[in-house]
Amino acid sequence: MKDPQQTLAAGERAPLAIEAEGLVKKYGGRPVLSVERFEVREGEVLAVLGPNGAGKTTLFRLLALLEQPDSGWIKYAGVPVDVRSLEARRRTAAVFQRPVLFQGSVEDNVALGLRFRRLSSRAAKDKVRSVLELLGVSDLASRDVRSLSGGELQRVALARALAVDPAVLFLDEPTSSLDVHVRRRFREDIRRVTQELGLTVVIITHDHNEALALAHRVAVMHEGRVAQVGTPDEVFLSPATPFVADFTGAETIWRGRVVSCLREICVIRTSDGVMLEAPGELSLGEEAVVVIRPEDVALSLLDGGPGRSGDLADNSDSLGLHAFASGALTPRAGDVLTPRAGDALTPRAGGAGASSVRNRWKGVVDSVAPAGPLVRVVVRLDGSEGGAQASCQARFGGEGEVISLITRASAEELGIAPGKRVMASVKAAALHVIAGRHA
Amino acid sequence: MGWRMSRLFGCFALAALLVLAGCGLAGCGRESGARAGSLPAGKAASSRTELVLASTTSTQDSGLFEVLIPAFEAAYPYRVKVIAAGSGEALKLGETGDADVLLVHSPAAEEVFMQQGFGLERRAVMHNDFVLVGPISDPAGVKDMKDAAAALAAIARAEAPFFSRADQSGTYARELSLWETAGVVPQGDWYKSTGQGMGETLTIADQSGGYTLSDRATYLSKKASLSLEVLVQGDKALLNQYHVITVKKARNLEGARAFLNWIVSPQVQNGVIATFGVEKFGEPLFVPNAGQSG
Amino acid sequence: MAVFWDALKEAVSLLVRGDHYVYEVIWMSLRVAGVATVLGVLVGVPVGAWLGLRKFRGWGVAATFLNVGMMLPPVAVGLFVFLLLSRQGVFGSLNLLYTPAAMTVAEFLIAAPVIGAITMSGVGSVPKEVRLQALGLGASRWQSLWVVLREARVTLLSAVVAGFGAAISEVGAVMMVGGNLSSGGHNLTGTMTTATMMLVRQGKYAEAMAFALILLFIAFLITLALTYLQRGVRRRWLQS
Repeated sequence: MKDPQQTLAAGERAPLAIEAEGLVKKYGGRPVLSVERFEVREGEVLAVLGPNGAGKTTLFRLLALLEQPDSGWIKYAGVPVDVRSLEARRRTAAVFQRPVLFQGSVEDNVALGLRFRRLSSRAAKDKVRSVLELLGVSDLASRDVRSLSGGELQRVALARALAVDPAVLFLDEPTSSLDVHVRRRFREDIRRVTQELGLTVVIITHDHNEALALAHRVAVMHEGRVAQVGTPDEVFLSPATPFVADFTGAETIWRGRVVSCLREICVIRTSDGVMLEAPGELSLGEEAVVVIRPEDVALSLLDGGPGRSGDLADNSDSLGLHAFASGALTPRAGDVLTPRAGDALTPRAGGAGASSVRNRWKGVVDSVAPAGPLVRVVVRLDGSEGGAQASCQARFGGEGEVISLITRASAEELGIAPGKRVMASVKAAALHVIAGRHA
Repeated sequence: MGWRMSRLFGCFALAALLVLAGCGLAGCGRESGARAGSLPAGKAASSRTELVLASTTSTQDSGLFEVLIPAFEAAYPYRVKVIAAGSGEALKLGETGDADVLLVHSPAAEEVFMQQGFGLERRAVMHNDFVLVGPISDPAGVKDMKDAAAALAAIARAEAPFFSRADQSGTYARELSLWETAGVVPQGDWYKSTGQGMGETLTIADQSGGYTLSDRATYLSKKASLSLEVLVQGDKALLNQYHVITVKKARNLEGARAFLNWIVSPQVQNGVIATFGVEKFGEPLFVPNAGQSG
Repeated sequence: MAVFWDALKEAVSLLVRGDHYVYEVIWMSLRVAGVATVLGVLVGVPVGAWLGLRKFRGWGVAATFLNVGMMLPPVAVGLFVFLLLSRQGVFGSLNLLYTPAAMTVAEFLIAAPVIGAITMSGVGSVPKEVRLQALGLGASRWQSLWVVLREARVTLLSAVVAGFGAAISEVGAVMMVGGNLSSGGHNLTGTMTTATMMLVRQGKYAEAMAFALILLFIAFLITLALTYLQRGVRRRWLQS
């Protein structure tokens, strides 16, 4: 993805930064949005990600000056603006989720924004032609919009927004009304066009893959608040809250307590009794939530299946994990564990002589479900209590379950099927720990 | 199954409604005219034979029918349906047999009607008179003139607003004969035709501050709501004679005859007609004269 | 039945011959209904559009008023105007009774609610996103309103046509305030509807039929216009 610090494209467009503070919006007395601070940086593509009802569309409308917040302020390029700031609003353009096209031909529609700005008919025609070309829909120019397909409609809607040379482009779930196979193509169009034109883009989406694919930064929203803002890497690999983790697809989420910490590796014991090692700087006894992305979970068959069968004995170079797992030793608060000579304590993957997988658990395959070209396997770990039906935290991969995403080929090769005993393993570095107690 | 039942029910309801409507129009349950005769008075209205009386709007406006008809229905087992229009249309209804008996006041037209054989019997009933009414301001200065035709001529000269019924009514016929007598052809925007009944024409003249020729009965009955005054009256040319005519093509000829005989009978002449209007207006509206002319 | 055919034949010959009274009456009908409809649009469209766009406190009451206005018996409207313009009425001194102006007022009061109610419905059925998208493309508030009206234009046009239809076919109210007056064979305040009624009362069926035929023809034209409006919209879609 291109660096946000990019050169301006030719034209009158000057990059615009949006700032907002203290935004609150209520519908019928109920607050649906409460955002303390929000920023859109010049030239970046910012994705606002969240489930339905999270307040993304409300935020979108407030930032695009289509609705007035109940309190708070918004600034465009440092200048305070609101719903009545027509000139400010005219430096932006919006595309909505369901293509809203007006009666008439494609040309009429694309020219609409220009007509609002009282551009001369000739200049408008030229602009319309060039923007239709940009999106590859020149042949649709004189067609009536009612005869277009969903994908064509969205493309026209995008062209219409681009025709006014906006400094900021607002896209509200631009692909969610499209057929799946059309979605990817359109996403590519968005990426190509916004890069070519160097626009600032705010894109609302509930699809985390879309956010990953298009954005420089991602803001995750939940129940009217911003849960986390950061680069896609930060959000996906280091989610700040269990909600963010869950929403971005990290399906295995465990709660636990820190049992020991040495340098930057901690041992955490989940409420289900599973022991694991993860990087982090936490204090003894602190509560934590551990997040594992399913792609990071490797599976191998136990008891005679093809592939390496593993055993806890392989973990002998860990910090006495084995002993804890069997309950032989129980650490007390205040214990500091000193490494013994010979212990290999490399926390990250790689390095000669270190096994990079510190976390291995035995379990039984609970379910196997196809997920496109991949296969989603749910494994109930030994010694866990009940799994999914156990607690009200079943939203997250139930404590004591781990979810893995492997290729179909591997699944077939290993013969993964419900009931089979497997070993699930994750590199310590792939575990993400969120400190603190979270609901 | 549910929608089919409701569809069926809907069809039945619609059919029943149509049958009812058709019945209402065609007059189902109406007995044929022949039965009548010696049935006792006081029968319920629905089982009475209908008698269609065509008359004029001015007669109806005078309120005479509100007294006359109940009196007749008390004596005879008919249900009288009054159609009020201009004398002209009343006569036309007589031509087609859509009315059984006529009570009109357009002698010239009536004579043509009889000559053409549409009527069986024609008898004089009563007369009232016409009056020339107008605004208190009397722009044409016709108040208390004795000659109606001359008054009209004065109105024409002054081009004061005059409202004419311009329909087939007896009133209009009288107006035209007055203009003829006066030797004036009324022309110009001051002379307006309403084409309507006497009551409406009076209202229009009143609202517009103009003159009009009216039968006394209608004028008196509307006087309270008008600001027009009688300016010319008493001229012989203003007398208005009513006749009753039985229609040859009548569906209820027996009823028609009964009505004719009844209305010229002394009891009705003196009891009903001569007293009508006295209570309300202090003077009778009509003067019965059944015995006088043919 | 013979009466009917005779009347029909005479009616056609009257129309073809160019009887000036007949033409004057036709013109009066068209002109009064036309002006009433224009005034009805000037008042009804903004009110209907405003009610169709926003819900505010008291919206229910206002919308009910409009719908009641549409259902109001025209004869009640006629009485109301008559009383206002009569000598004893508030505007009596203007001497407007029995003039085309009075008829126009009555027809306006009949057409405007029709136009307003249909406009309200049409504008109300334009999806809310339309206005939002217009704003999102840089429309000012008035421009976004124009876009919404444009999207509802078929309904708006049919509102105008319906208003005109209601105005030109009115009998009772027009009769009350107009009086169907003529002078020396020239029409003063007669319309096709009131003239027809009068002529029937006078037994002049042929002339009454002449006007009835024109009215039927106008009704036909109106229906044709409405149908074409709907289909013209579809035809363009098919051609694209």
